[in-house]
Amino acid sequence: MNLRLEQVGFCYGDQKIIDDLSMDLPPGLFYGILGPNGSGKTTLLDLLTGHRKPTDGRILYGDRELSDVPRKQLAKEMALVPQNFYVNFPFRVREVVMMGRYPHIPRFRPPSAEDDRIVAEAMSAAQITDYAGCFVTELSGGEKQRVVFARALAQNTPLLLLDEATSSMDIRHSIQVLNLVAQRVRAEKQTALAVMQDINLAGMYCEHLIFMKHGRIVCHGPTQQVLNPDTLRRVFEVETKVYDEPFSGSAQVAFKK
Amino acid sequence: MTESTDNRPAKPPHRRALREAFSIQLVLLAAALLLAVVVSSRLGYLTVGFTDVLRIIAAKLTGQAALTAEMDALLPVVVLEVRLPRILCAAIVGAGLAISGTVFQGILLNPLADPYTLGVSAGAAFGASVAILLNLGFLGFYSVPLFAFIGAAATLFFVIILSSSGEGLSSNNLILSGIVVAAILSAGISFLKYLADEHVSVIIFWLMGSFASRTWADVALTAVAIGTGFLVMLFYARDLNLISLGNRTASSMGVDTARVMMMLLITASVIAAVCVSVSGIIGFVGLLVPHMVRLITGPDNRRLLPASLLTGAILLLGADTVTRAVLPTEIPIGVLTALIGGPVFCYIFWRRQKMLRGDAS
Repeated sequence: MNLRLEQVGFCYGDQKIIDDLSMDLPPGLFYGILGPNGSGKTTLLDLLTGHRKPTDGRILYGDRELSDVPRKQLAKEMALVPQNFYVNFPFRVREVVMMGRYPHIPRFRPPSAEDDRIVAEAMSAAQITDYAGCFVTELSGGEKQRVVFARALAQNTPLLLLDEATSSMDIRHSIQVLNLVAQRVRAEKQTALAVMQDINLAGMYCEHLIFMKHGRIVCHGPTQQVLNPDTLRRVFEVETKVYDEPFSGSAQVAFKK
Repeated sequence: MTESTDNRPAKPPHRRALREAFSIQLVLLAAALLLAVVVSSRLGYLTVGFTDVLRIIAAKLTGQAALTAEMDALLPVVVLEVRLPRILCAAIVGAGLAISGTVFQGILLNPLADPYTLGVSAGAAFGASVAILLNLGFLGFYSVPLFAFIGAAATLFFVIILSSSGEGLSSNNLILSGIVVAAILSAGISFLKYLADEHVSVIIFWLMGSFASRTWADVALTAVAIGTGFLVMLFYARDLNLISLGNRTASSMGVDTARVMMMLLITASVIAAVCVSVSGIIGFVGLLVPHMVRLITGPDNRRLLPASLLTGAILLLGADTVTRAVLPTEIPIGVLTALIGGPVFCYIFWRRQKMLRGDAS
């Protein structure tokens, strides 16, 4: 469903975190959000999940205002892979992934065979089936992050929000997770919105990039149009060269030391 | 979702095994609790026979006086009017402290949290001390528990107000506010003790906790409060699981985290306040039981809460029976639980540290 932000602002005390954001996010695309630390990327995701409410403007989900959509329903529409994936108690991996099904299962009903199937698929997709019986608290950072990713997959939503979801994974697993997301977007017309730090991975996977700085959008558009040295200088204040890289088949960025 | 997997389980064997194991655990715990109640009713100054206890209880429940016809007329009175109210009260308070501790550890995401983390015990102690010091007898026997409850509720209210300024309830804010308020109240209690002169022993004795001379009214009151609280907690148990993944995640999964936290916080605190008002301050049950039970059931609150309820009841009833009937002189229950619970906690902690070190190497 279409997401539309209309002059959205968010203040934390006196501090403006998000300032006058307006954009349309039509479904079926892989969006990347790039920007320096503290530019409001995570807050933007918080606004989209309804975890925080905009202090100005409004967010439309389809033709409804986001704050009017009941939380329970929203949890069937969008899943979040958060930046902080700390699990506080020694749940087993499969229990955590099963939590992704909670929004679909009535409070006092046990999971159905269908739920079990979806959980098994999500674990296999995130390559954590081998750890299904392990305690999450005993896994490494990257493994834990894959568990949290599988939990979001099990939520089985048309919109997937990723907040630096591969930050602790090795490159093999990062690529594998992003392939999976890209495939969902391509084959199943789902939508992904990923906050990323690695500009080259963003260039490889995202069809549409949103550059943020100081809570504002610097520019957004199709990757080929907006990923250029000029934008990167304005946003990150670094000197770069952007070139087409035939091996990956995408725009790649080289940085000046 | 990819459909690449072919290892899809036809049936979920792990989950069914888990559910069966859990049912067995619950049945065993419930049986152990019933047995503990009966055994404890036998013990005391007068030892009552095992079958006599069962007969007395059966006679009461079914109203058939014939069952107790041929035994000493004193025995039914001792069991029904003296022992059972105290035994049930200890069991219910133990259950209440255990589930309250479970919920506090779950909300505050801190395994060191217990029912008293937010200063409920200090508030209750302060209220009780005021009532004892001023010798407030206008409500007769109930003025001390009532003041204790008011003290606990006021403290809770103040701690929540103090910690929810700004960015909503966060566990750090709550813990800090609880510690600060409890510290102030402790100083206040010390001052009250200083003022109390000859009443000081009454205050100290109350603070150390006791189930002596509890009545059926106490049983009914605690049972209603803790039963209701338990149902509220069970209702939110699944949401509490999600909260352990962090507020942001829980909120993205359909949980109104602020509301759930507030409901659970108030429920757990009211339970703690009722427990303290009825029995004084009994430490370690609310800290220890969730830890022990989590080792067996795992951290899923839907299993953890019922198992903690039963385990807490068994343990506190056991401890109270030891001090009432086994030891040569009765020592305060709060002292006993700390004396037993402290070392047990050290052991669990030590074993866990050793296990973690083993994994790291």
